[in-house]
Amino acid sequence: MKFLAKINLNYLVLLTVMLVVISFAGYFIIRWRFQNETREKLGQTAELIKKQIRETGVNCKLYPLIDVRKSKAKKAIDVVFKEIFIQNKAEDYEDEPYIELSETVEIKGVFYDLRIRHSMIESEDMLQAIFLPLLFMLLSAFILSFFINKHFNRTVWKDFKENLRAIENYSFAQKEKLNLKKSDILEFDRLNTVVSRMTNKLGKDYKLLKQFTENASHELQTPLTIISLHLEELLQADLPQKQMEKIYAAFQSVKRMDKLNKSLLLLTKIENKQFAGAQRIDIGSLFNQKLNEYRVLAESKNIQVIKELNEKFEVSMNPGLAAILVNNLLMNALRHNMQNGKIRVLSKSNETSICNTGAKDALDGTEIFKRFVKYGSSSNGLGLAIVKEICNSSGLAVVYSFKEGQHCFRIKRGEQ
Amino acid sequence: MKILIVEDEIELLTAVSNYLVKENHICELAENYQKADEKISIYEYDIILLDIGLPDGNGLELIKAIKQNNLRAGIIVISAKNSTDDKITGLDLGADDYMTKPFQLSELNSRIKAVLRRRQSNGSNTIGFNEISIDTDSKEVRINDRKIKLTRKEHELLMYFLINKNRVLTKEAIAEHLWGDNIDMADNFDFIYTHLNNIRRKIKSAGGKDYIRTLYGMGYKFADV
Repeated sequence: MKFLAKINLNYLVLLTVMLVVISFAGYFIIRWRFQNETREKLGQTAELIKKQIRETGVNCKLYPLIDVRKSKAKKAIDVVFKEIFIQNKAEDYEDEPYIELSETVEIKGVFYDLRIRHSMIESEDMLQAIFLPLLFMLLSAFILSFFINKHFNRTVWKDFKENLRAIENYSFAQKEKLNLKKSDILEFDRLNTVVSRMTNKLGKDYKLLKQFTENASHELQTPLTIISLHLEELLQADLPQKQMEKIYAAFQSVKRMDKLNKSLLLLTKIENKQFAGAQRIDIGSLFNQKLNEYRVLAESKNIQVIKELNEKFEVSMNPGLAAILVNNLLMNALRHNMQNGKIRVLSKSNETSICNTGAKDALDGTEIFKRFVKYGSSSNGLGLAIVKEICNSSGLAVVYSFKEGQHCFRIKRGEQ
Repeated sequence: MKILIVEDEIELLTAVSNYLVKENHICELAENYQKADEKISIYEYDIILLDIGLPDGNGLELIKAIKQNNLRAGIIVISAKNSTDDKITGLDLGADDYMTKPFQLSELNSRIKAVLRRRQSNGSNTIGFNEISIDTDSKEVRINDRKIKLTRKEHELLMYFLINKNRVLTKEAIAEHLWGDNIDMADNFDFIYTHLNNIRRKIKSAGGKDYIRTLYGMGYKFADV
């Protein structure tokens, strides 16, 4: 959930709860005030009636509002208020709410039961007349403050959002430094400082790492070159066959070491994302190009090459990496093939696949992409690891499958 | 031809210069940036082999100096760094070719000859060996004046043999020369054999001799019989 959406949602929930609580409280407070008022009025009426009886002896009656009777009890009872319902006999026989004052008093030696009532129907109307506008005003105030708050939030977080985008798009492989927008909010400014400091440090480390890999490569390549140059010169000498074979074996090992060194360096470089500069590349046509280049390799094993490259599978990636990707897959299909085997390259708009005949049984689809997992001694076990690493770094996915005696590698767009 | 080798590894420097002297070149050596810079400003060279990883300066800077003082020289950059950046910068600055360590002497020789050929604007551009002659401009191959038709790879392979005649060329070196670094079929170099047989057949049918000798399964040698 987005930060602002979260804040807005929280705010909305808070406002709703507040609105409910305030309206309930408001309703009951107003109602309580009305009741108090009514009780006071009833008390005053009771005093008037008592005075009238005392002075004129006339017993007044107006059911259900005033109900005075001579009491059978011979003792005074204090004022009690009750809420009761009385059927309206005049109109529609419905129960209507009343507040009742009941009291037994002694006037000139006679005991009277006083029941004075007041209808609450008007008060309920009054309550609504006051409460509803209040509720409406509250609601509008809340809605207004919600939107104003939302707007403020958006302006306050704007710089933060922009900086977040800048950080997202930043890559250590690029030459420019990370440029964060200055903010007038202290916390954001502190965050910017920390992020800038960290990226600078990481950028320096990254550069050092890059230099280290290159230096390591240099340090290894030079002795390798010297060994291979000397061995090459020894091969020119007219030596007995046994010695020549030993020199040649040493020469081959140096070559192997060189390939291994280069492959490991390549893997490190891909992992370090040192291949920037993506271009639109049609993987299908790249396969076609490489297949033409390596035609002799297929011919030497009498391998039949089937090309179905009508559709373009265009991806955005570094051209050098794309060439290595296609090269390694093709070499893989050629190397692990058999005499009179087949290679089939199929390009569709969403994937390109290369299938080859070879080993009778399926291979482990995850193991084969691991480093130094070899099938046969001729490879260094890094070719497919490089394929996988290139795919990972270029937003692609490589999947192995085995069907009808064909080992297939499918290159498709990965989930990003 | 006069060649300047700029390389900080003395062992490597000697190995390369020994070989080039054997190939009848005159070699001068510079083991650091400063010496190289001096030599470039005083003498003229046909080819400068330049290792760009020098202890006292970036070899790429030397390319600029060469372009100012020594325009005639062809530049072959040698680098341990298989980095595309360096390669592009090097070629942009005016280097003629770029080689990654470890390289082979036969490959170096081919590259030097190719750069020299490109730089020679006059004279005949033919490479010959007995009855075989190759016109490097038109890519025509003649055996005793009879034209034969070779595929592009066969042509490249024959050129490689003629330039490195009398040398043992390993299968690895040939494969790398024809298909570059990416070729990786250590178990199967039969395709070279296929190409070779085609060349042999074509030369023979035009009345030429077979000069290609097979050496104990390790490589080939092009030499007079």
